[in-house]
Amino acid sequence: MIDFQSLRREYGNLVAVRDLNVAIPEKEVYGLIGPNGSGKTTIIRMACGLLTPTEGRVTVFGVDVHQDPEIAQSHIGYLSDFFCVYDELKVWEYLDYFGRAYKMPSEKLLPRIDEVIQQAGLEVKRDSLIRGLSRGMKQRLGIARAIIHKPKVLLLDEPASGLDPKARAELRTLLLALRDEGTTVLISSHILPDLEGLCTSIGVMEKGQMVRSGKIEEISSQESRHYSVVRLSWVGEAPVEQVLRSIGKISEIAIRGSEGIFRFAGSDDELSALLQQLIAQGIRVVSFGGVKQTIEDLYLKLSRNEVM
Amino acid sequence: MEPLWRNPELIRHARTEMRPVRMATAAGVSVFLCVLLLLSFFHPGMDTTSTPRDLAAILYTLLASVQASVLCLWCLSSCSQAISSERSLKTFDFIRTTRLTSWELLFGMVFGVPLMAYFVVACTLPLTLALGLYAGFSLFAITVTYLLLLLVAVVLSLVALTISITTDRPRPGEVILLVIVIGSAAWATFVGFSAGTPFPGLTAILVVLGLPPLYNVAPGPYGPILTYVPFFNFMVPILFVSIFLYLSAGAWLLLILLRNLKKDREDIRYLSRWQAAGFAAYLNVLFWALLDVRHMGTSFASEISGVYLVLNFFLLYTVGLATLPPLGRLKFWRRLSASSPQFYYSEDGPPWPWMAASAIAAFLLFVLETVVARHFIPFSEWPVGAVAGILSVVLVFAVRDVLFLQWCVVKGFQNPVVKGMLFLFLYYVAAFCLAIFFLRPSLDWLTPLGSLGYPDTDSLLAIMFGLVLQIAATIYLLIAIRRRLTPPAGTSALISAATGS
Repeated sequence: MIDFQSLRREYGNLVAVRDLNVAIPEKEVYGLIGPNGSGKTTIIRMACGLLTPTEGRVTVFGVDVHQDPEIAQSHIGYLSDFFCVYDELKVWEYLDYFGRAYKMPSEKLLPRIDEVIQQAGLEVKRDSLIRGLSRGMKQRLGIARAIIHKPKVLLLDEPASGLDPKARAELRTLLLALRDEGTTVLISSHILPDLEGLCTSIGVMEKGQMVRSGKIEEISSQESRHYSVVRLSWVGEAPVEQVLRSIGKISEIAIRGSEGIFRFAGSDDELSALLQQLIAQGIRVVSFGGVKQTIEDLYLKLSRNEVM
Repeated sequence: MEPLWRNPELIRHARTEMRPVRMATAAGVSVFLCVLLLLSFFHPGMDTTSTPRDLAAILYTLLASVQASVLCLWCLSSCSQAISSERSLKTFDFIRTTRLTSWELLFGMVFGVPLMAYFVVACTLPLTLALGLYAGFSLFAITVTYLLLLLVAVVLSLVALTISITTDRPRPGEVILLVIVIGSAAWATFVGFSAGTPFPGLTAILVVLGLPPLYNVAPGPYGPILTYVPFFNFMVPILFVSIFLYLSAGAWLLLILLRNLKKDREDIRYLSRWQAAGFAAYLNVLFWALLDVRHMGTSFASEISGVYLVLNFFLLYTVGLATLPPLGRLKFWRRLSASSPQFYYSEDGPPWPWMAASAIAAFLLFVLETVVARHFIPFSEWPVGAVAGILSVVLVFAVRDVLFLQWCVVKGFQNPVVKGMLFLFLYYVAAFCLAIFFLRPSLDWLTPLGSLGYPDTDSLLAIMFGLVLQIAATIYLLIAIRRRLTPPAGTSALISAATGS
């Protein structure tokens, strides 16, 4: 697991990360979200030992990243947003270099190179010079490099930046496969749809501070407990809008044809009572239910100074 | 550590640089150029009185010089861009997150980055070797020559890599450092060459001067060849001093690189504080090692001490600047408990304790030299007491100036060190003008220059007054820095309330 303890980083008078205390459990895919300049990259760079914290410490599976970097690095794979690769090397040579740099035993290295090349879908390019690869292929090669030593933790800083939709989809497939293999992933992004369905937990950063952190379902249920979005559809003519307006705790009603959506500021029991009330008023309800919140919804909710 | 040939960094450079086609081209071109060079000597107007052995000797010297120039320039140019280019391509971060140690990475870079240059030299080496042996030079002399070339090439690679770790965006401090290094080297060479100077050993910076004795070369038209130079007042071969200078300089560069190679640019600090104080002591040791006091009269004791004091005046500033902590680290230091030993010996606190340690080390080395050199200059001739006093005055002024720079850092100026140095320059100009046009003693009150010239009794009082004035200014600066580092009362509570923690 990754443990941030009282982590702080200052650049002169600017506090880039302020007293971060977060523990990311094993096999979790943790999405670090927030606007540019909120401290996401600084956190990831400190987590992989590239940047020394002003205060506090980061441990990966109990190993202090800055005290025992060599041991910690054997657990960590890292990929940043925009990066170059060594164009004059061949694909397998590039992976061989990093495999050796991670001190993998030579008898295991070559089979592992072929394995990750296959995982990244670069089999046909194995013996090609990297300079001939497309941007998406280079990004996949970057992931292959990051996992060559079978790290338990993968730190990805905006890995989808600058990729076209096809390359993003390929990257997503690769990350899903890694997630299913049980790799703990810390991924930062401000392209929130990319994290949808991938992350199991999120942390929302603003101005160097962690606004909220936890499992998506928990945050979602906490946020929905008092304020949920409800979708309703019905058949036949009915004064739905009038009925809804007459009921308390309902706002932002939008009706289009025989469908409507509104916000409801009540508990699950109250929501159930609302359905019974609508039926009692003669509305022939076809479907009724809370709308599942996306990470984007959650982020917008959490970052609009509602929580801070 | 793995053997050199299994070093991943070296293998990467070998794979990148040494593709068969590229190797064949480089070998072909270098051998072709050598042959052209040889043929250029056989022309109708050639000197027919020279024997083939003389000709071989000339060609050997020429080829070896070309090889040395190519290797040294290649090492300098390729290594000076090695890390900065990797940083700009964002590939260096990936290397830093591997398990490669700084040793392994440095080893691979020093020999891997200029690998093509080593290959070119290796391709032409058989020809040079054949010419040298035919000319009658011993295999030992040729081997020593090439080992020295390797040593110089490695040290130059280390210099270039040291520059490269911080210069993708050259900062004014680095430019100043570079100017100081180049200026010192030029000055040292100049001083060494000047006849009758007290530092003849400085000529050893030019390795080539140590080679003629190996080849039994007769004295040339420009005078006798300098075969032996004084080193700690013992006459030793100049080659030995060259090797000492390059090995010791290389060791310091190695230390700097091993400390910083895998660090982020923001976190790079060339040396730790103890190491910075050690470096100042090393330069002082070098001063005494290369100084030739054997034939000096007793009257020179004061002059030597004066030069030593001026050297240490600059060294104290250098130590102060090198140990100046960035604001973030200083704030962290301020938050440490004063009761903790870390508070006083922290790498992040103000630099003055380390400047004081350097001054004490300088004085102890001075005393040691007066004892060691007593056979040439009696102990009683050395102004030991005056040196202690003047060094204290110089220390107070250097601490005051460095603390002023520290205050500029905590004040949050942009480019605080450069701005602070500009303010200090203006201050010293103003002090000079005041002394010249209005008040003579103000030079003693406001600058350390009065004390450097062995003051008389009249000036002593002014210097003492100046010392009190500067100590007061230093204390004021310490209080001002402390105030800046202490958050206003209630801020912590506000932050806690805002964050909800």
